[in-house]
Amino acid sequence: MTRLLIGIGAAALAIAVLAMAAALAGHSPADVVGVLFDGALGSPLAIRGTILKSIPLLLTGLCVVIAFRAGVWNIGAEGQFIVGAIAAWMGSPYGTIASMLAAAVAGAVWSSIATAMRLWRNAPEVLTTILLNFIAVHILGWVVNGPLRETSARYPQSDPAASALPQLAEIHAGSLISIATAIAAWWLLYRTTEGLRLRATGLNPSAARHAGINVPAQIARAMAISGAIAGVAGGVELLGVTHRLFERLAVGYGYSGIAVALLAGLHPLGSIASALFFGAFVTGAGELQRTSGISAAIATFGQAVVILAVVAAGALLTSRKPADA
Amino acid sequence: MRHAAAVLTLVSLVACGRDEAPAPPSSTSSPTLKVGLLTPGSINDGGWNAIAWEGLQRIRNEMGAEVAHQEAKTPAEFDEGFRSFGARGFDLAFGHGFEFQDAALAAGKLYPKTVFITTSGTSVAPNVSPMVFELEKATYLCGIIAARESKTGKAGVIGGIRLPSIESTFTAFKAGAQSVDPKFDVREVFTGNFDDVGAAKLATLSLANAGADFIFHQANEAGRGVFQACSERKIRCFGSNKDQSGLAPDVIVASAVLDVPRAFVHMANLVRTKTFEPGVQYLGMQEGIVALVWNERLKPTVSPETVAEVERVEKAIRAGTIAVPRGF
Amino acid sequence: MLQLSHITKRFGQTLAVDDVSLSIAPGQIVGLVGENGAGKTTLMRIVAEELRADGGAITRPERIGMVHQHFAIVPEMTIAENLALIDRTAFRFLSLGSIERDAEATVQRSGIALGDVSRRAGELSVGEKSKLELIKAIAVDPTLLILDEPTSVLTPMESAELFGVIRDRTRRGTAVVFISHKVPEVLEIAQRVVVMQRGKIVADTPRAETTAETIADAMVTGARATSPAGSPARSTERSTPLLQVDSLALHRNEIVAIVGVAGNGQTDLIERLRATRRETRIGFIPEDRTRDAIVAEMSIAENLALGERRWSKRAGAARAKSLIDLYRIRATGPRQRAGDLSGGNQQKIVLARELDRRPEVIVAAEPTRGLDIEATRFVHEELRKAVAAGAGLLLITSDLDEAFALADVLHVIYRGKLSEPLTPATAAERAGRLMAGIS
Repeated sequence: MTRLLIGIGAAALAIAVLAMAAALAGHSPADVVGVLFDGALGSPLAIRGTILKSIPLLLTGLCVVIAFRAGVWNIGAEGQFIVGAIAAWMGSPYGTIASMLAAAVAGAVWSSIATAMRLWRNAPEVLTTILLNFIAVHILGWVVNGPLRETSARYPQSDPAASALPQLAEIHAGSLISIATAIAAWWLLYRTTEGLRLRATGLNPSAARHAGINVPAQIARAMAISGAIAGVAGGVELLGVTHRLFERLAVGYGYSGIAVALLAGLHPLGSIASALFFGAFVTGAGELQRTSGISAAIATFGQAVVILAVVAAGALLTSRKPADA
Repeated sequence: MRHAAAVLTLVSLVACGRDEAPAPPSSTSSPTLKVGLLTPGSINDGGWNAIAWEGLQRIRNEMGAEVAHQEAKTPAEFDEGFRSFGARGFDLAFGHGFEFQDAALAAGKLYPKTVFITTSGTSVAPNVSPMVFELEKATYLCGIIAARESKTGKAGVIGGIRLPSIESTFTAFKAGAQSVDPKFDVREVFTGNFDDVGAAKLATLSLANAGADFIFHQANEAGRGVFQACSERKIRCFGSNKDQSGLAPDVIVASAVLDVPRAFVHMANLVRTKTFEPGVQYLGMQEGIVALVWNERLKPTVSPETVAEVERVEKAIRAGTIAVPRGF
Repeated sequence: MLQLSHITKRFGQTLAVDDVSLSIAPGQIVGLVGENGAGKTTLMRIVAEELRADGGAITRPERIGMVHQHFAIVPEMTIAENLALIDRTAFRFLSLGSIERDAEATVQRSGIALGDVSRRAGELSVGEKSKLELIKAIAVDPTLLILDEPTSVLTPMESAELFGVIRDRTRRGTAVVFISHKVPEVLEIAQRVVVMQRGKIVADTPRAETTAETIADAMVTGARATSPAGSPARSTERSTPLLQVDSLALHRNEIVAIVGVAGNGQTDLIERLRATRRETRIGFIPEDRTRDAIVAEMSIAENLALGERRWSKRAGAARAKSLIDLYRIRATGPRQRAGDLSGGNQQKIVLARELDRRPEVIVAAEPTRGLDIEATRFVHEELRKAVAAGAGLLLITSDLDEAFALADVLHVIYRGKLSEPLTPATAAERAGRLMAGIS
């Protein structure tokens, strides 16, 4: 309940800050907010844009939710997204299902590298996952400039993938995949022993260990699940939207996933609303730029405001909780 | 303090579109031309995206067009931006990069009245075309200068990433040089990126050690390393993409200049005058988009015969009597 | 000096402090006693400005020092560095020499002996850590000193030293609030005894007018106060031990106690015991509840289900409901957050979770630390029942009374070494000396 209020408050704050800045810059705040809403939800094209952009955000958000819930800072959704997309492209000749499976496995393997480094050398995931992002970006750069370059070999991009996700009303099936994943993640966390142990591991690893939970194995599984979801995000984006691999494929979906997860209070179902909010924000910001010339970078700024507001609210709440009454 | 900085940042973001003067009224009585632009990155990057934005501003100022711009980072946004321009009845929409081709083809089908132009690419439809800049025509001339003025019979070319567009300019450079002396030796080095100044400098020094006394580069920012090395070794080189003479006035003989903003204006003119023909739009010297610009300070050190020869070939290229080879 | 009037504090639905008024004069030693969850710690944290009261007015003395039940030291730093942390000067240059000199002076002024100040705090024994906490609190020259369960990890000798320090402070006008469960201790040191129950002060009497019995009664009014009818009969038959480490052997229906001052190798021993029984999960009641046993943010039902092989939300809730009844856990329901419960009720959750599986071997470390009389009795009863039903219990405790009350066999642990097995009769003479390392 509190988390819901914090989330709504943070979202409202982002819009309010934007309107205030608009006023300072001489735009009418009402107009700016109006265009933002209109551009996000005002027409079928706008709604489609909002939904399409929410899909990868929801999946990377869920990736972050699962890892954070197990107490692991997986900042690597970006890299897992990229390797997922590459694997999906390579799996696409065998159909969409094989392609999605390949994406999930690739993402899981990529995140598990970080786990392996944690277990063997105690390397913190915050660092390893970020570094793995850079490696993934470079692998992507290499494959589109090298082995997977389009057959005409003209531009650094791959040929279109051999299969694509089915579409309904020009919205690809990734929408269903992402919502199903959100429900599955909720079910996993709150309705299975796996989820119970995962959450206990995140909240109090010591108590989890003493209660007979194999904490390292639990963390390893959570990271693999988390990476698999980010991999699927990459696969869905490839087979649903981009169809080709190219260097700027990911553009921060993984990092935006952190904002989605935080705004959702790390709740899988809350992530649906949270991803839609950010998807709408980005889409509306695009319209704002097209019509008013206001830089679309305000969408990034809005994300930052949301993250700061949620983190600040969280810190405020925990500081007021009794340690031992 | 930090709050103030954050507010300033945000205000500057919001204020971005506001520093333009109101569009001058259209000089013709025909309805206002509407032109949209999608860039893959921020127009404040001082490079690729900034020149496209400049092109759009020139379309607005010179032609009185109504313009709109969006920074579109993802294919979903490419698609949405193009469709939004089409739906609002724009006459012309630019996508600044080869990656906009698929979205342009898709939107082109839905909005046949709008012309979609991608900067580079190969995809063509009745209302979709790429524009391809022929910097090769100027680099061919650079090759002629190098071959005629070299004392060692060797020159070097340094590239950042091995992109087809870059290799193509090297092909033309080599062809120009070998049109003078078929045995003229041109060596090629790629450093692997566009911003490692030190790597470009090292590559230049190694080419100088191998005897090259003219260097042509296509390394963007890293090109400064090329100029540093040339200044140290007192060998001559060429600027690329813009007139770079000012960066190293003692060693840069001439620059192969590309006027991208003008290409945008050129395309807008074709659309306004309804003379646009679908197909790959090769834009070069005839259109005034590509040129060889001498460094006036060093021009006197070049033999008058070479200057005359360059003028002759340039005319022939413009007249179409000399075909400059392209890499693709 | 300290004046509280009508202080109220709520945590969620729990009224932790309920309209409390209290005043304390300079130089006075007040013993604050009550069951766990009675609101003692909360009240004192309000006094120390760590928590804000929801209602009421407070007049505070100038400087307040508070020593918590849980350590607040940085283990990676030396004693001297930990002491330097309390310096509130905005900016100062430090050198290793200067902070060590300052630290030695601070220790000297406190009147507490604490050896070399260049030792890392993490390497100190538990007793030494609590001394360090006390020194930190005294270093600010407090006019009011609050001590929360300061003796729970001290040997009798160290407790005596602590009492000396307290008396010395009061001669200089410092008022002292001494929070404790140990009634005899409170009677020894306090000049005035304040009893809290469910957030209210229920008794406030001068030391001279009170006895252990009246205090105990005030703490648990309304509660039944009969002690269990001795240990249930046990089979004396000696089968193969369930567990054997060095000279220690644990059989069915048997309670073996390991007594010792905290920090003498009990943790290592527990880890070794766990390692010998990897295939079956032992029933384990860890010493530090909040750190090792309870996930505070999770519900009671979820905490009860930790480690279960199979679990569904509905069956889990039903099971939780019956365990809450069975173990008399005072809670609003299975969905209440475990972290909102008092220490005693949290311990009951741990007991319920660990004992309900009917483990063959139970290892309980300090199972009644910090618990009030009623909860302690309850825990002992449940452990006895489990043993009577066939389990073997290894009890690790620093409380000799507890060991005598429960154990069939005792070992003393000192510096990682176990003594020979002792019967309660022989232990009565020797255990105290063995614990202090005198043999």
